[in-house]
Amino acid sequence: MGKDVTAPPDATVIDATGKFLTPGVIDCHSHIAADSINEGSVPVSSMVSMEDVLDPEDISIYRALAGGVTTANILHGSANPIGGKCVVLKLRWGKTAEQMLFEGAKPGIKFALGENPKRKGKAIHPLTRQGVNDVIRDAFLRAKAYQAEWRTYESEKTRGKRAIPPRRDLELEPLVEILENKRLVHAHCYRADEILALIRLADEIGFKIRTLQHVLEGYKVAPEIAAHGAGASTFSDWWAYKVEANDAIPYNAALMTRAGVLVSINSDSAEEIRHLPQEAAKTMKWGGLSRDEALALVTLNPAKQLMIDDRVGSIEKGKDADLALWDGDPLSMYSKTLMTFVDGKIFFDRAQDEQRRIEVAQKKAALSEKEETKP
Amino acid sequence: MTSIARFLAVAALACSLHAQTTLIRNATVMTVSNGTLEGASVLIRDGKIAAWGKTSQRRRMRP
Repeated sequence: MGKDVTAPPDATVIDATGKFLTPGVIDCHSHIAADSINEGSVPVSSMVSMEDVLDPEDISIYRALAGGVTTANILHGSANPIGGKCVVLKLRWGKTAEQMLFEGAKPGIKFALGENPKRKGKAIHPLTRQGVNDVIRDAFLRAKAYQAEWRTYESEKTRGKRAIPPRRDLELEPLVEILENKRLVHAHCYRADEILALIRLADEIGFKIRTLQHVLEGYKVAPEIAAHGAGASTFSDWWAYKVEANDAIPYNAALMTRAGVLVSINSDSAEEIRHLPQEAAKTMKWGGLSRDEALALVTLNPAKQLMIDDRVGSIEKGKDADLALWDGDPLSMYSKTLMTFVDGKIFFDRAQDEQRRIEVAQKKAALSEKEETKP
Repeated sequence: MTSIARFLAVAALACSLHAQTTLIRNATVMTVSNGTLEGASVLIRDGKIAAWGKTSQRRRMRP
């Protein structure tokens, strides 16, 4: 914190008396701006990327901004044990898909355990939870062999030998990146047993799980999650929407936090993304997190999970000016977002939005009148 | 003028050609990493948070 802050002569001044300012909200699990989600034709779809199918005109981007969101992790779906590559976006509404990419964000990939990847079983492997485990293990064994082929080639080349490069394998390349700590694993999961199985498998193969997504039974195995160093990105209180979600409890985020896990609350929904601070506030009621701890669940913690906390996630000198201005306490369900800034520019302005609604209504009325008076 | 204010004034002049400078004045600022400060302001320059702290009683620096 600096000394008293005064406006420089050239500054635009926004009077925020009585208002609240927070870092922009960050969603670690979203599918907005994605044209399609699941490449479900193969058990391992690591060759596909969400970056290829971004729709910058998805209205959900604007609605998310209207809820104070400035950054979202756009994930592939959960049809495959190893899914597609993910992409982190800054919600620069009105720009092209390329201009929305979070510059320098470490690339990620989706994994999925449990009911979703095994439900396709009759058509493609796997049919069971053990089958899911096998698909992941086998893919990494193939990735290790592929990595070794490239290492041999590189070393022969360095020694001046005439070597032939291996054919690029677009399925295994991202897995090698995981092994070399160049790509973050975001693993969809629910049950404690499958969480432990994935941690064991990751330790056996030698890779790190960056975040466990949903992780509704995380509270049962929180010390094991903390020991692996995985983060947890969960819902506030979604429950029983499928069999594997039956043991969910609203204390999950708080219990995992107290066990030393880096926790975030995500939306996985174009609706829920509009009120993430309220979702985070539920952890104050269920689990007794402090205000700062609750707000961190949708700001600083997801920034850390996505390894972009040097740029966003808190209000600190030198960080990107990704901010949300609220008409009241952002942890209250009665508060509304007034303005959302990305890189210091206003991308949502409630006053302007309300003015435009009047203009649109007037134009619509004028058009209707014209239509009615047509001869 | 405090040294920080002087620095900000000089910096503002130096990059006024390209700079987009905004002051969000007198809010309750929830920083997440350094607690909550009432009556606080955040100065934005060139897309970054240039400074934050207590709102000065003077609304503007002298040019």
